[in-house]
Amino acid sequence: MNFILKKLTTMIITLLVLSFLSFAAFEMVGDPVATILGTNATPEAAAELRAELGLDRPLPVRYGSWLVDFFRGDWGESYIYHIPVRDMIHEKFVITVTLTLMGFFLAVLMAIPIGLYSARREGQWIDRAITVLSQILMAIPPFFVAILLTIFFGLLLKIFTPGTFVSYQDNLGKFVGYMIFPAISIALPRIAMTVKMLRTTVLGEMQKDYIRTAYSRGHSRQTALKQHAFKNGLLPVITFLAANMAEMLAGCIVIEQIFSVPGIGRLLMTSISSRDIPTVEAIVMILALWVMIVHFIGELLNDAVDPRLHG
Amino acid sequence: MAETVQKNKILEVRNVSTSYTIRHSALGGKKLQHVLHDVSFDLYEGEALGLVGESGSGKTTLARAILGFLPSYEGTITHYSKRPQVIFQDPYTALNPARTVGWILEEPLRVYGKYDGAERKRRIIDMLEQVGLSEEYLNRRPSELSGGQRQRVSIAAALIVRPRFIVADEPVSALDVTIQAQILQLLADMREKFGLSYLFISHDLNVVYQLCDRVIVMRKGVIVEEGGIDTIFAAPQHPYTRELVEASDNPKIL
Amino acid sequence: MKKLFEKHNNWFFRAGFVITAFMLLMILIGQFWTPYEPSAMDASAKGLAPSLSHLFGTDKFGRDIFSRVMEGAGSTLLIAFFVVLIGASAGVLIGAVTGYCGGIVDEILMRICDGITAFPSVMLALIIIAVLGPGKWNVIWVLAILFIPSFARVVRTEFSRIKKQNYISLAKLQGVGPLRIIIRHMLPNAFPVLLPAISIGFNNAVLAEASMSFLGVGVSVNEVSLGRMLNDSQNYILRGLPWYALFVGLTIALLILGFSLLGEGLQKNNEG
Repeated sequence: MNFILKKLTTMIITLLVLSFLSFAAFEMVGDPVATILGTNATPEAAAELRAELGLDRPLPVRYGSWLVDFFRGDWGESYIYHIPVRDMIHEKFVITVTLTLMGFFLAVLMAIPIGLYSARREGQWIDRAITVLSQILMAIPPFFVAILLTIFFGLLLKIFTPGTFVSYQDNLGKFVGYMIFPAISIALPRIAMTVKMLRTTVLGEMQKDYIRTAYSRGHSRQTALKQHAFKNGLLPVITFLAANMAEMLAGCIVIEQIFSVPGIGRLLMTSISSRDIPTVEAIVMILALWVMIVHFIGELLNDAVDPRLHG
Repeated sequence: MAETVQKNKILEVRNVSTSYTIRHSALGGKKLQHVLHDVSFDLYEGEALGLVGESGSGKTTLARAILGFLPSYEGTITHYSKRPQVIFQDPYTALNPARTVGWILEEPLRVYGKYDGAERKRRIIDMLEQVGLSEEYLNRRPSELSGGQRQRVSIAAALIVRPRFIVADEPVSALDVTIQAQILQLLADMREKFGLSYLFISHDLNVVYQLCDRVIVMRKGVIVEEGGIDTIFAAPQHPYTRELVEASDNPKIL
Repeated sequence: MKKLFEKHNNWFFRAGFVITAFMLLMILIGQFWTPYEPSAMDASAKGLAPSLSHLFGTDKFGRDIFSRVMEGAGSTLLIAFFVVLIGASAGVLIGAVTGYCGGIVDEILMRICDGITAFPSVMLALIIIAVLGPGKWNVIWVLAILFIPSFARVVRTEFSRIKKQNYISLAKLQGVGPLRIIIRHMLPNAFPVLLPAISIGFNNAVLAEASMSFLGVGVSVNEVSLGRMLNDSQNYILRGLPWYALFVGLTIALLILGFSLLGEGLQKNNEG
């Protein structure tokens, strides 16, 4: 309990510090008045807009009211498109979360059978091949996987056409179909890491006393693997991947760019270059929240798996 | 021997107590646990004092307090010599694994800062020979030495700053019996040669008997008996001391 | 060197060593000699496929991609080098002090590290660069600062373990000062864990630079780097000239693979 409280406090403080810093930084760089009115606006018009946007108030006050508004669900209005940021982000957010979750489940679904198979064939050539391959795949950046997939499946096999993204609101089937390759790009290094981790965990479990007992009771190696090692190996895998969700999200920003997926990462990049500060601030806050929550869940799972870690 | 009033004190320990709080549950319920309780004794120049007790008797805590490693304790500990040096039980953690024997022995002299390189080198080689090792060990690392050799280097490292007082915390208990005898002999020789005082901590009365003039028996943080080594062996007063004497399977009473 | 090989007798280390050595050699050569002038345009050789005269082909301006990759890899490696140098130095300093002293300073610094490491460094870096503006040195400073916690944590854990060893008590007793204890007595014992951390640091730095420059928030437009080239090459993929992206990506992947295998190999040795 103590541990959870401590983690929660750290999380909230980090979130506040980070959001304040990014708020302050973005307020300092871009002059939104210039962004909106252009450079040849009259000083009167500029002052009027400044007052209208509340920019004449001191920074901490602005941050405070921005934060309150944010948690009330009012994320401000885009300087560029003049529509509520919330409406703009909503669809993009769903797209990116879908991509991350697809990557996550792909990793779970692929890594568990492969990892278990590798553990079952310990020392045989297939196990060695899997180990070598996963060691190499682990080190391959997602964007390179994305490039290879685009070239191979997009240009050579013509299974999908890069750049023909369809939103889930228009055609769910096509949407999921298009998202498969981006999801693979994100998942592949994670699959490799997870396979390696699972194999080590399962083989470690096999050495433990209760598995030996199961053996001596006449269970075969296969049954022992299935009944005990699997159960005790599964939770660490999910914990590991949950802790990796934050990295996967960061990976999404790059992957969206390569596959032209209009997700939150792409919106972030365009908002940054067009100095659309309300949008950038909201996205940063959402990403930070997401990372913190995912981390927190990871920590909780970790604690559930191995409470000894925290005395 | 302890009655010779003329001798100079080298260490004075007065009413030293330490304790820690143990927590019974997460909700509270703290309890004060004594590690040392009102410990007082003196150590005289040239004397070898044995400190005997089972593990958990507080003897290592007492040693740490004397060496200045304990952040806080009640009572007073007064040194009448410059800083004591120490020889640890485990020769495997007492020597810096990343450094050579030569470096380890030179370091205290470098810090002392009064000798030039040639003089330091001369002193190191001299000290190595004193402890029964030769110049060729200078460039060896601790991982290349045996347990006995490491303990010899530890002794050399303790003696190289020419201390008058050495605290030896179970210096032979991690070694084989034959090596034990060699190291004990070396400690006895060094004592004679350099006029050292020892506080010799051990759980083994036999080992203490071979080196010490006087013994303090500790149990649960309290001194239960104190006296000349022969007196203790011949006529132990406290039941616990009697137990220890009987347990020492080979009482070498003269 | 021979000793290093005897000590790290596993295929991770060997493979990592071979790959990294090869890449470093190519980069080193690229500093003095490239097959073509990297920025020289050749109107008669636009968009060529890989061939013997142009190993990696040419781009739409007729520039030799192999030469450009050699140059870009050097720039990326230099960025990674400074990131690791600054990050590791500061990390060692902070980790050593907190590990040696412990207490409240340790607690606060480690909380800050926790907070920073919770976020993927690429994500934080691109937000900061968005504020500071792109540029080689901006990338170096941002990444270096973001990498400090990972080094600090490794060193701190090791230092708080070493602190409890008897030889440190002995050094204190011999009158060795705290600074000297940290630098001369403890630091050499922390190298076995620092080496793999440095190798992994290179891995992460190359990856971060490539990702950031690819997104346009890394080095500035007129600077060269692998990530920058990846950004350029992206437009070629859909126009049926995929090898530019392929070779740049392959170079990045090999650099990262080399460092990661090397780090893994060094770590394996510590586990015994």
